[in-house]
Amino acid sequence: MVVGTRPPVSRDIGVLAAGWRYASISDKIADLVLTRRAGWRWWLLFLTTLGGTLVFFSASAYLFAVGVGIWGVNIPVAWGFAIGNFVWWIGIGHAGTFISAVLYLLRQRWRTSINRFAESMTLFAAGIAGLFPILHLGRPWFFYWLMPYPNVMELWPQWRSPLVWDFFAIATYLTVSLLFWYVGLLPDLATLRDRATTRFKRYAYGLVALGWRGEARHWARYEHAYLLLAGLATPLVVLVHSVVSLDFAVGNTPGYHSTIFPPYFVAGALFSGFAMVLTLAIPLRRVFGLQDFITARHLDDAAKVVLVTSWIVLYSYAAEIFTGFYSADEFDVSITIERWSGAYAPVYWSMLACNVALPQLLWWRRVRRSVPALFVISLLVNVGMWMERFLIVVSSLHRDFMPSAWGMFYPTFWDWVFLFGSIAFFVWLFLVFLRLLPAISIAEMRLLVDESATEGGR
Amino acid sequence: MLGAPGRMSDYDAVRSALEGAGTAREPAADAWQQWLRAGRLVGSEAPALRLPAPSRPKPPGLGDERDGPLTAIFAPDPAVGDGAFANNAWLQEWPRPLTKLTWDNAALLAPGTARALGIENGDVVELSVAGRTLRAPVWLQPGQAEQTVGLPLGYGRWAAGRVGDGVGFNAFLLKPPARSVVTTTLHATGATHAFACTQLVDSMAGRPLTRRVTPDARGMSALPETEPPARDSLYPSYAYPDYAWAMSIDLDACIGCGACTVACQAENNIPTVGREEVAKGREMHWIRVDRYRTEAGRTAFLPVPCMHCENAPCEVVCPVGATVHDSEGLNVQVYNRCIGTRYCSNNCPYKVRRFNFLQYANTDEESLKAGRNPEVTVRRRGVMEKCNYCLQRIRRAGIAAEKEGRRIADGEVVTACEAVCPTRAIVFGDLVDRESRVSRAKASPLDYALLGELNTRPRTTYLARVDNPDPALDSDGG
Amino acid sequence: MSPGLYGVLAEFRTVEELLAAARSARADGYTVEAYSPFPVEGLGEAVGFVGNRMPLIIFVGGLAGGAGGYFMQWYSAVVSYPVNIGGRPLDSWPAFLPATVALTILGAAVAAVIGMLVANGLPRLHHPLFEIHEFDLATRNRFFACLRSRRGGLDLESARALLARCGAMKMWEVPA
Repeated sequence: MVVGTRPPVSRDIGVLAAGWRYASISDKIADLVLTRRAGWRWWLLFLTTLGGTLVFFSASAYLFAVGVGIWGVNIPVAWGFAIGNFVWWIGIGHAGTFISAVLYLLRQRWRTSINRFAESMTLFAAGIAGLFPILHLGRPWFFYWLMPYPNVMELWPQWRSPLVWDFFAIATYLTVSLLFWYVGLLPDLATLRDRATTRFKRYAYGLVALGWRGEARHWARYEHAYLLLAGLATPLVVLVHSVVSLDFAVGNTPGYHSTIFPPYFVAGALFSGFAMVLTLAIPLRRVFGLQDFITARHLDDAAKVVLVTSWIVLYSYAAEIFTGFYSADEFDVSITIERWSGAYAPVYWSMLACNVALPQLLWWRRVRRSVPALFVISLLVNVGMWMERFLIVVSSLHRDFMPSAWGMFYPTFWDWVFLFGSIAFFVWLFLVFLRLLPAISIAEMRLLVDESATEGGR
Repeated sequence: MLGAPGRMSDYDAVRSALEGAGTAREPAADAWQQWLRAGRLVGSEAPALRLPAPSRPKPPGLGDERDGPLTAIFAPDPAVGDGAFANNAWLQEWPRPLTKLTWDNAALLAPGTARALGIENGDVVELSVAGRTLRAPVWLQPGQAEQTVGLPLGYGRWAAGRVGDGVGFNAFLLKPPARSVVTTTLHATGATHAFACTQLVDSMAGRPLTRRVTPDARGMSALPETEPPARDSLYPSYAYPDYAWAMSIDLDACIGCGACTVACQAENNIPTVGREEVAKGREMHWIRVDRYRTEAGRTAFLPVPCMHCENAPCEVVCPVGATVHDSEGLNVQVYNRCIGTRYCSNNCPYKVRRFNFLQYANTDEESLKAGRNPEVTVRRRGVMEKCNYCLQRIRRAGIAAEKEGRRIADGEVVTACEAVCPTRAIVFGDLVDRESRVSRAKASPLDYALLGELNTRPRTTYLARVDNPDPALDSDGG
Repeated sequence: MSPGLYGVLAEFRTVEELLAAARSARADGYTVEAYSPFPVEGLGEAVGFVGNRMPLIIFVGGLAGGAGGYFMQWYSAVVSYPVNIGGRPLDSWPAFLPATVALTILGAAVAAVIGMLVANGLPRLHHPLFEIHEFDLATRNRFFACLRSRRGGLDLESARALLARCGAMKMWEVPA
């Protein structure tokens, strides 16, 4: 009366290699955390990035003590690297939620083995992004004045400011991404608890697993909550970067004041986010031997997203130029020409090379299937996107309405310390994550094994 | 006789007498108008004397010859004079009216002369006069006579004090006694010097920032009708029933001296920031005097304080409400609420906001404490500041008026810049009072708003400059 | 159910066995709990789970976040501390929308997670089933069914018989 008394074995379905069972796939991923010893390469990278992280925080202490004058910002360029870095990081922090929420709603199966580390990337990137607007304040210790809180002065935030919108959008994004990530982690934390080799690990994972048992009713509510969270996170992905773009678009500065900005920023965010997914996935699968789960198909699909979003970004550049001239507004025209030929023109043309020309290589399947090529392209796309953020922030400000007030921004040593320090901090967080939590969703991989076996049997 | 019928009016008597006399021929139909405009009976004047052309001696080196020797001209510096004021930080940081340099003097060369010599802005040159040499950085100064080197005195002092020591070069080392003009030679040393200049661009980039009109045939002056009409706002306007403070700056009167900048600095406890910070673009002056050069080679000055826009772009973007409007229409800055996002400065099209990037105000130095205005907050690091129309003076006048149970009278509030302006170019007052000086200034057809097309509705507006060029003297002809 | 007993637990190898066991136990009048290492389609229905209130909880959370968020902005800008900002009206409703949208999503998401945990009785760090050593495999590769009670009383013998018929590999009587 009972069918299928043997547990299923996966078949090759492109996004998962053949020969995996519930048990083997669980053990493989869980043991990366529980039993595998960190290799020298991990330690080397860990210590290097830990050093960078310490530099980042020491520099922040110095910044708090002395003031933002240690950077190259001035009047007129009152926003510099800090805001550029903020927009860049928050952009990178978009792919994770896009992958886990939007691709979940679209039932894209190649999401399964990359969503966990992409979500973690999102959390770290968005968290670091959230630091920059605070570091950038003249009096950072009062950053909480952007929050509504009861106070005897009856003072409130000024709700018309895009920075307040930003604060709410990013706080919501961080919270929802964290919840989404944590809910996704719950079954895996239970797996780690139940496979833990030491008492300490058993208690530690047991605490955060909240007593998850995998009961059918729990799963039913869980799936509902997860689906609706995905549905809520989807508009949030669009909202956050749109609101970030409004920081600029609501301003009257030529080069900021443009209605194309919200879609342009969202596309740019996905573009840089997927590039960062590739940048992280390529070494991850190699070092931890995860090629069976993060397959060539995954890299190929992510590369296609990079290609598509590069065209949306190109369209946005073109639309910005077109509307600049079409408006015949002398200030808009002037800043457009300034970008091509002014002081920051080399950055502009390098940006076009990285963001528009280079990704066209991804039309070729051979490039998409070449791991080294993808790695290099993904790195350069992120460099290009950083230059884009820099240009938006700085080049628009350095020449606005009054020629008498025109100025130049030159980054100082400290500007670079904060950029590279934040990158080190990001990598360090990611390395810690790899050692403490499963980089791939175990529960979802078991489901994928089940599905692949059933499908293959047809 | 008085009021008797048939008697001529005085006007008619004068007019008929003049039209009937003084000229040989029958006057033209509009002669009366022409006489009134000219202020004399045209055609009645004595013939001009025919004099031989004057033969003036040619000044040495002040010619157009490009390969001749240079002439060095020594002159007291506009800021420090002969050096007596070298230890005054306000004056050192005050942008010199024509060069906009601070904390420095420079060997001033005409661009054409510099090009012929192969010298660029900032190149350090060695000047020699009668065997003495001096190294000085070059600043290219349009308007400087060709083949001359302007050498401001009063710098390079070693016993001026903590502020003035070691600033610039000492041109006295070259200057012969009792002579201010000598012949000199000059050659580049290969070194360069970075100046701290507050204005990097001379051109208005084709934007009508300073306006200039010429009288038309009827002798009337008004701005051409190129102004976009004031746009209606989507939102209803706020009413300012009590007072509406405003300022009018007459560009015809402004001579670009920059006294307003220093007066404001003294009144409002504005710190000096020093040469390095000015070079980074962080000077703190609340009112600056822009110096533009038109295509025709004219110099145009534009003093720019806060415009106190009614639709202030800065206020909308502040996340904590640190810059808001008060009931009298002032755009006020709340220092202790400011957290320093600097968003307001980005959104200020006039770029009049100043930020304390570092702790600029020296709060430790005892001698400075007594020099401060006790009615004005000394700002700490990390907050934005800007012109507030000398709010403390408005309040003082308001308290005095309230004690006497009356309104503040016109002219009772005088801002620091207005008080010091030697040509009375700046007028401050209340727009609710239709008879106030500022109301009358703004009723002029010459009144215009800077960047008015942005619909910021500034309370500070300008009176366009009226030029009546003589084609014989002024080659650009207006 | 006999006092001191949580239920009768059985271990299965495959999804199909667990589904079949859950269905026949429920048909026999048992209250069944089913444990799986990943969400199994149809398992909820098989153990008789109906009336999922998650959408309602999330809707209410979102509504509270959005309405509360807008009210806060309106109250602070119009009632509590009205001030002329750049000549804009006190109730600048278009400018209040971005934060309202964000707070709507925040309210809904927090309600989703807290609602899910509370409805599931979590966190519950200890549970009688955790006393069974092999139950660890419920989060790895095995499927478990636990018969809690039955109309008219739980009879251990017949419960074991039913589970064995369904292909249980191993069975335990779990103390409460």
